[in-house]
Amino acid sequence: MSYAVQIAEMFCVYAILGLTLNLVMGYGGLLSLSHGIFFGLGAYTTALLMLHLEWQFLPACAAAIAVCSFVAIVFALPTVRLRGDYFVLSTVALHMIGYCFLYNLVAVTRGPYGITGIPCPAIAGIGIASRHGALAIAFGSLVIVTLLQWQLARSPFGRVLRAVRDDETAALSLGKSVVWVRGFAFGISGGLAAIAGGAFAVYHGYLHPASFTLNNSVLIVTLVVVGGSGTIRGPLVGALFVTLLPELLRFLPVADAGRADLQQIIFGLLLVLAMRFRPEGLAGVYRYD
Amino acid sequence: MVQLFANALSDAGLYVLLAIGFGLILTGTRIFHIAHGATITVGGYACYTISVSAGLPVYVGAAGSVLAGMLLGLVINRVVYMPLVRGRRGGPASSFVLIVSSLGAYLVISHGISLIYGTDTKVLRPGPDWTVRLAGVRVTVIQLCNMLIATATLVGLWFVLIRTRLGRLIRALADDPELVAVLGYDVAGLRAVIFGLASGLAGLAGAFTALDSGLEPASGFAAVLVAAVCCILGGVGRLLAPALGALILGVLTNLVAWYIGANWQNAAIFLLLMMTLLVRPQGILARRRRLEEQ
Repeated sequence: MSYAVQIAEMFCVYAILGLTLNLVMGYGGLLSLSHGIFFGLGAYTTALLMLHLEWQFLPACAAAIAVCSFVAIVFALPTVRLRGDYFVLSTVALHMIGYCFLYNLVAVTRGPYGITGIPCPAIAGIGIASRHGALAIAFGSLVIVTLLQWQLARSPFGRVLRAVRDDETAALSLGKSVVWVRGFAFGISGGLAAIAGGAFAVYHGYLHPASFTLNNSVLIVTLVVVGGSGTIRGPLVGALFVTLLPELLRFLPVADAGRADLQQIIFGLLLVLAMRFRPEGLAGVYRYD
Repeated sequence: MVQLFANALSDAGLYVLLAIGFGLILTGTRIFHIAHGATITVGGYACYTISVSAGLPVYVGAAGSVLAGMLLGLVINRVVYMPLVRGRRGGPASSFVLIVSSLGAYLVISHGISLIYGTDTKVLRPGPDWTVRLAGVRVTVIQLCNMLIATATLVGLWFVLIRTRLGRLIRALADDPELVAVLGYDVAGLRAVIFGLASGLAGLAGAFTALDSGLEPASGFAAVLVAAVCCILGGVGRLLAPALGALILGVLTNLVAWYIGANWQNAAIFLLLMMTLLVRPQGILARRRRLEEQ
């Protein structure tokens, strides 16, 4: 049973991350390799507030969302002006700088020693002491994020975002500020990624920078590309895929270390093949043209 | 202090080897070649296989690295990029598609290596480094080689790019690929030449990095990021400008390691990159291009 809970938890976290990155990648048409650091920043902010200031889960998570969206907007407003490759590189830079701080600011994040003893969350006075309860939080967050995303995609903002993606010049000539639209999308996306971080932190009760490396950002991009971008169902399919693939690989007679490599090789192959033959992914609509 | 700058120069030499090839591909073909990192790693492992596993001299290993790098670069160009550049239904692929494919190729190759060789760090030179004293500064032989090879590469490349017909064609391709195609030159062939040349350099850089500081499968990604930072810092569109970026980065990383701590090097490198992108996105040496030229 705890095995199923574990898998369900991973699915929820990946799905939230995929859905939120999809806002930037699928609806905004920007490739971002920094989503993993918003995930990490959200997790650390939630955990530290709960641990040291003894905040409840909900306000701590809300604070994490605020911190992450602030960082994301401050980062994005100047950088979304950059052309394709340079924007991608600047997101990598953001991730590397953020990771450097997570790892080296030992006084705050305890760096390589990790944070232990994150308290069990309580919502509306009801303490949640089991992993099933933490899973309920993750699932609830997923539902909320999905609904939000759905509303956002149908809203005028979502339409403008897609318009900017498809034809920047046309949107600009209609008086839409390309920079602000993209900056806000990036801010919302980074802020919502903090929810996944909060759910992750209270589920595991332990945080270490190794969970938030650049590989993690690459994994989230892979999930969106394979699942499909520009739709709600795409990242859900992608999250299901990246959650189940490692479990399926367990049946292969390979050593543990080799299996991790094999998994990355499959992801890499899928990225190349998807870009060549099916850029819209399994269940997406946007083809990254 | 003089010692610090000697180390900085040696590191800059390594960065030049890393960055020149990356810059050649970025300027010549406009592909942000992340898989260059995998080529660098493969170069290192080729040197390891030849000089440690097979016991041949190191210079044979380095030659093998160059060959392995070239071969891999040509294969990546042919298998991954050519179909995309030729275009799906509606015209050539966007930079988004190219960069994601490149990332995929990087994942496949680097994890293929760790599947074969394991993830532990490989050491190419047993025992302490040979050092020589030059004007009161202690440098290792490897560091000296770094600087010499980097200088030789720069001079050689300058000669090829400025003085030969091939160099003129490469610069023309960087300037306007369509015009080169219209004039009847073989654009696909030229791109292959660029990939071969740049990837050979990457293989060599991989061998030297491995000799300098050991070897692990994941190290290529950091190397390609350094290469990208050097190129953008020096100036995009100028084929030899990465050398200036490499020099600045070499001094910066050594200063940071000395005064703050080696674990903050990455933060310094990428803060410098962010500032460059925001203040002078065309880099130090290049002039700003007009929109219709891009």
